[in-house]
Amino acid sequence: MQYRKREVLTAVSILVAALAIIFYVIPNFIDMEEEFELASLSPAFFPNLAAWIIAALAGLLAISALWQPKKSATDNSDEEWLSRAEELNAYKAALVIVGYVLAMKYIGFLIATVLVLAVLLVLQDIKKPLHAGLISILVTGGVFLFFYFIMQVHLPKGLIFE
Amino acid sequence: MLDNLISGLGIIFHWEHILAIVVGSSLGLVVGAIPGLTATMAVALILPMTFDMDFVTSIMLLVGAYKGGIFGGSITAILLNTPGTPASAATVLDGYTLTKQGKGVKALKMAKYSSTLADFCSDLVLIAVAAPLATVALKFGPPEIAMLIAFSLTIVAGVAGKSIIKGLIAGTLGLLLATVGLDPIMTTRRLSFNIVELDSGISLIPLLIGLFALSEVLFQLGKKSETYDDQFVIKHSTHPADNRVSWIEFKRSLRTIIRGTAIGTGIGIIPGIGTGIASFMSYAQAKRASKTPEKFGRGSLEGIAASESGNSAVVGATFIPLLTMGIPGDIITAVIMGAFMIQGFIPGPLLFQDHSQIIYAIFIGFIICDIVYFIIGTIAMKYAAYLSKVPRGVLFPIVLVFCVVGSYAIQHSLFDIGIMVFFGIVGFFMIKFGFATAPLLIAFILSPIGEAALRQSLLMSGGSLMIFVTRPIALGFLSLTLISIFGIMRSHRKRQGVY
Repeated sequence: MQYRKREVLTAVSILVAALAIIFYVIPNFIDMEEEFELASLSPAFFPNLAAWIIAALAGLLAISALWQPKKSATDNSDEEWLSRAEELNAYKAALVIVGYVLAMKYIGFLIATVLVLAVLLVLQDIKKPLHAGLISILVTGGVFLFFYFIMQVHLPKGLIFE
Repeated sequence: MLDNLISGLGIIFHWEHILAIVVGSSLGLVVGAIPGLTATMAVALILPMTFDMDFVTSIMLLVGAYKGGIFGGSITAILLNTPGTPASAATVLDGYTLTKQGKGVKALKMAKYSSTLADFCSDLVLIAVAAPLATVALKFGPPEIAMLIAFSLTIVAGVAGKSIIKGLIAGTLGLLLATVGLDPIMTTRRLSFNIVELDSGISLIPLLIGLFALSEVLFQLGKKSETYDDQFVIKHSTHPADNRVSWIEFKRSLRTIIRGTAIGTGIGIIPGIGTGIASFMSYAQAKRASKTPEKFGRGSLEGIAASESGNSAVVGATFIPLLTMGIPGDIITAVIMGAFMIQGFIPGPLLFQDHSQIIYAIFIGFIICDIVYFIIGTIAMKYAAYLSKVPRGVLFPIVLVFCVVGSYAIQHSLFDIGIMVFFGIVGFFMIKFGFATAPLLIAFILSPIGEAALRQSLLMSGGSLMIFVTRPIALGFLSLTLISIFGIMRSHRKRQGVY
């Protein structure tokens, strides 16, 4: 996507989010049982201030993106960014991680971690299943033992096993 | 001060504290030497392990990791042309050239000497300056604190990355996120969306692990795994002179080290500038002052001394604003500030009043850290280059496990793991769209103090903003804030032509 277009879209999305916070989230999710004589006494004072600043900065971002001469409006934020295929890999990894956290509640740290490590290692082109399995078991076991015995942290057992 | 130093000596010379320094320095050195893993990540991942430790042990572990991490970065910079941390980027210029000439060990030794010396001097400045500054800071009321925080938030601009506006948006988002939970003055619920776990606010540790470690893990997992070239061999000269730094060579670089130390210490005291800039600034000044500037970039020992003294001197000095005024000097001290708060110690002038002996024990610990990482560095130099050969495909899934366990450990809460994953994904997209993540963290940490001080000030003045102008110290900080904003915007405009 063209740099300028993407910047403007980013700015507009932030602006919309900030306005949603000001006009929907703050009135509905901050307990304000009384009217305050001084605005600064209100619990909504600081969140409102922050949200308005974000809205103003988003506007400024859009203007600065539009203001830039076409020649200099090249994308310089993506210099070291991932290729499309690599980005897709990252999304896959993110999905695996979200699944991992959800699964941990039910099957516990040990099983969930062995499984997720094996999946991620395979996704990372470690083709030998034996290597992936071995690394997963060793790392999970090592971390579990370290935290259980040395740090006294009892990692989740999982609802199924409790 | 002398009494406190003597008491501090009694506290710090305990096997647990010394062990913490040794372990912290070793871990920091190992993590710093792995390209892609920064000293910040080392400190963030070690932090959850400190919750059950006593205060001094936990801080010593983290400070050791910080110092070790910065030095670890220079090992791979010199041997493999790969700076382990951004702070070592300038070291590559001469360090790797020397390695190609078979003088890698010589370069490493010069890096070690200059790093340790600069760090030591910076620690002495910390010890000398901190207490008097804290005495002044004790006189601050809410208006002064509010303006001090405003000045500190200009750090946000310093770490904003390429776009100041985006940095400010990220910073303001940090201010907003910090308001989740109970209101500090009226104690009513704010923005917790009826989720009980959010009533106490968003936990700092999962947030910072997500933003700094998980976002990087996602980025690295996106990349295709690569195998390192097995044929890569570090050239090694057998000539004794190529493997040591002679007294004459050291003496020749001493002026550069002193200059680098002064630059690094000065930069460390000013919040938000950081080790990378100190390193390059020291390098540029050394080249300008050198009798042989043409040798810089072609394997100059002076170049290594300049870069390493510049970045290492920042470390001790960044604790000056943290300990005296409660302002983190850089991202790593922001993380360490989290450790202070978790242990029930609020950084700021009161620390010197209420816990002076402990603070001086920590100061002495800083100096012991220098000695320890000098020794560990000597051992590690032989093996650290192998660390960079750990395949990324194996390394980052393992880091993920530490992110998960680290987030869980503080409150034994699966909800915190969810918070960490959420902010990991947020951090990933922030990087994708060119938003720096550091401003969010710094503003998140400073926000509660700033909000309370601002609202108390406005209550004191009946809502009038004049309270910030009529009190001299507040006015001073306000002026500094405006000057700082003006200076930063000017330098950004000069550098890029865009905001």
